Amino acid sequence: MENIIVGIIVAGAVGFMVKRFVDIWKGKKSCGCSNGCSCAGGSCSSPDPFLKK
Amino acid sequence: MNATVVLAGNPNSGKTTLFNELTGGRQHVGNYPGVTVEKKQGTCKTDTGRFEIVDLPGTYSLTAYSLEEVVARDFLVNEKPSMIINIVDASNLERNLYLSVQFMEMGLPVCIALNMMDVAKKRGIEIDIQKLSGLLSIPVVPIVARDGKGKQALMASVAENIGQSRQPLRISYGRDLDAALDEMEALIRPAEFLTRSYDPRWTALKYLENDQQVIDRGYKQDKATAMKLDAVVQRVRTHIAHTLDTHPEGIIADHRYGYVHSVLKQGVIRFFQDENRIQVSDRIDRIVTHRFMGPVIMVAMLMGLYQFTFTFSTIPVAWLESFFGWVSAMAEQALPEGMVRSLLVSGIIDGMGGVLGFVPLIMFMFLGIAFLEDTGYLARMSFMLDRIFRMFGLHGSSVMAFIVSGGIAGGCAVPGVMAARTLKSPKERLATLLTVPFMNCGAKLPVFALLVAAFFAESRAEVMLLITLISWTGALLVAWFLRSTLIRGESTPFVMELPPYRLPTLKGLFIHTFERIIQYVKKAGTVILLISIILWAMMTFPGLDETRTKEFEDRRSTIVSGLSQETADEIMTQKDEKLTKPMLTVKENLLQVDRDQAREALENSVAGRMGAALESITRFAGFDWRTNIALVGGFAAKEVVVSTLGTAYSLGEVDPEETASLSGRLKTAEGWGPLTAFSLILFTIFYSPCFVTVVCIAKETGSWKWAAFSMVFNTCLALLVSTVFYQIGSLVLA
Amino acid sequence: MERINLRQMKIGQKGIIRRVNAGSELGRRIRDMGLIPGKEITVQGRAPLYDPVSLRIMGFTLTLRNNEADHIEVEVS
Repeated sequence: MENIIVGIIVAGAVGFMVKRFVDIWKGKKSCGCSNGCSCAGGSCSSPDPFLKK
Repeated sequence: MNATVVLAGNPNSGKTTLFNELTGGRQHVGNYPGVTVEKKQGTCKTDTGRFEIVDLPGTYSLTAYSLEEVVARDFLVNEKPSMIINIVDASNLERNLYLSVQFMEMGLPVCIALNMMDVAKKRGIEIDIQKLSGLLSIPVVPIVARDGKGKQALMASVAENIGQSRQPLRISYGRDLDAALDEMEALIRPAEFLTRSYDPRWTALKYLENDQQVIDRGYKQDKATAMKLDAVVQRVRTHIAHTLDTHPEGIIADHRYGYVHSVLKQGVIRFFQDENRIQVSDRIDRIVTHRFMGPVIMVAMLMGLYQFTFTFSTIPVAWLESFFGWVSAMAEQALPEGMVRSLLVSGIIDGMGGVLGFVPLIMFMFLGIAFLEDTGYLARMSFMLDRIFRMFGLHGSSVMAFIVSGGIAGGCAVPGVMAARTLKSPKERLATLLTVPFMNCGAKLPVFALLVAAFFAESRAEVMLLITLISWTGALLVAWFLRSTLIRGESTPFVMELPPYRLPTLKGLFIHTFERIIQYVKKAGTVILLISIILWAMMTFPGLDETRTKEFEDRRSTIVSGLSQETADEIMTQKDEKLTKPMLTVKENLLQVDRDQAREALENSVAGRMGAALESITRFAGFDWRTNIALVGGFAAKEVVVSTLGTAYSLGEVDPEETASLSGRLKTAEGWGPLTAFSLILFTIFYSPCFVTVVCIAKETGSWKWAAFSMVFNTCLALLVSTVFYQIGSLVLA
Repeated sequence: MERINLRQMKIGQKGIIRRVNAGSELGRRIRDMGLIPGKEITVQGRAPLYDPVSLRIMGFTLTLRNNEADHIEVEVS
């Protein structure tokens, strides 16, 4: 029982991760970055902080 | 009324501030089709209607010099917004109106939001708003974006003026060019050449300005007409070169400014002081960019930032650490021993907790950087560093790319790599995007924070400063190496505005910081969580085979063989204080067996074997197999180094009463010391960029060759640096 | 009145732009930022390594490198 639960969780994690990699690879997610960069909507901040103003 | 309205204006004119004021929190970020320039959108509800507001990138002109200008122009042409709110800095009217005039030449509906009237007044500038509005025949509304004054009036004026048709503005560009424009217009109209997108005269003007984007588009649509237009342009160009010794684009800019100037001179603007009088901002600059003081202040500023961050974050970080310790202890007690518990406690809680524990630190760091960003100091850094960067084959704009990537700490290399787009020369751009991953992005920050907290707690800010200096020096040296071997070439121009210093608004700072924290937490809860689970599995399976497990069982039985069942139970369940000395010894022996077993299981796992295999190379840099696992995991995302160490040392941990934080565990762990820690810091600075960055490099350079290069080259470099450091360090300390 | 190159101007010196010698992209950029004939400029300062130079024009501050300043002729008193 326990092994099945763990198996499902790990398989799920691997699945999501593979999907994510494929998305990034294909360019569907233009950005998987986190900090100082807004990814809402899958994009990055304007490259030049001065042009953001 | 429902309408789409765009917000356009010069950089530093208060556009973002106005956007925040108009839309409040109701905004979302996407990007413009096909490019990675950020597109911010939000809704503004007033009594006059509901407006969808799009924040265009800030530009000085619409000449397609930069990507931002192209994006802004395309959006205006393709989306045909109902109204452009052109935010204009009243204290800098002439240059700001230069852009407004270009909107008007395109025949677009414009409404001017005259910002910073307060600043203008202080500088002795008086503006006759009625007159300005009359002369340009467009609405002009005074506002103060900082406190939202005038925004109701602005939106009312926008609502009132939507839907009114207007003629494109015609400016005279002198006899020669006007004649050429007429001639070209006569060619364009009958051929319907690009008329679906642009006003005919505007197309002609762009041809004279030698605007490559419009020329390319025209050539694709109608080759015959394009050739005819080219011929006219060629003729005028030669004529002007002969008679006036200049270029059409020069004449056009001169006349455009001339037009603005003539409008202003008709009593619109009055100066009570010399407009170029020394301002407070200039006085600050005299000190801040001073030959000797400038660099000193720059370093002091960084030091101050780190000091600030560490001082204020230590206590909340400790709280969070003990909170996660408590959560993991709770989970441990609530669940029966087994796989699920191990996954939850060692994999998820200790893995993700390690990353989340640094949220306060990240928050203070971001707050400090947002402050520097909003004051205008970063532009001064570009200004001061341009010359040095040029010596190493980079560019003043590379400074921005570096800072976006985490040059000060806590950025991200992905937008940094993209920021390299602002560089015009492909060679400088390549050199920049290959070196930005050396900066200390927000994902490396928890790694440094962890190691610094464990081994350099006495001088945290100093070590952080040292880390920054090392990464900049390394990046510059690598850039120099690349620019003098693989990617040689000339440098390109650097013309930039130094915006006046401004006191950041609290609202702006909080929005900035909050956005970034949300992203950090979101990433920890998604990607890092997934990777933690996967790495936990890799560190758990296949586990020990039956014979080995049995051997450990046998060892346990031998230890407890002489004892009664009751005593054995007592040892396992009672607290240490209640046990007698011989009982404690038994317990300690039992725990030792557990430790040995856990350690062997970990070593036998997939990840453990992988790490051990790498040890033959990495042990010269001081890394054992656990660190190797963490570093391999770090390729997916750098925070994983922390979460994996968390899991690895949690799996090895057997005493449920001991819930030390990861930094506490590392401090006492075998094989760890300041030398190893710093060697790991060096490795983390320099080794392969994370997966996402690598993909981004491949896309930006258009070849996987450079992406592969950055992975291999950076990792080799990191290994070299760490090994040399560790070996020399060991010799010195020995 | 004499005409000199912007590069040769000293800190604090004032002058009027008389000619901008650059064409194409650089020329357009320089002019977009307001560096056009007839405008008064004041040299504000220089970066620690003497380059780039910052100058004041139409009430704002602009920086450019010495080799871009070479394209600009200024009349100084």
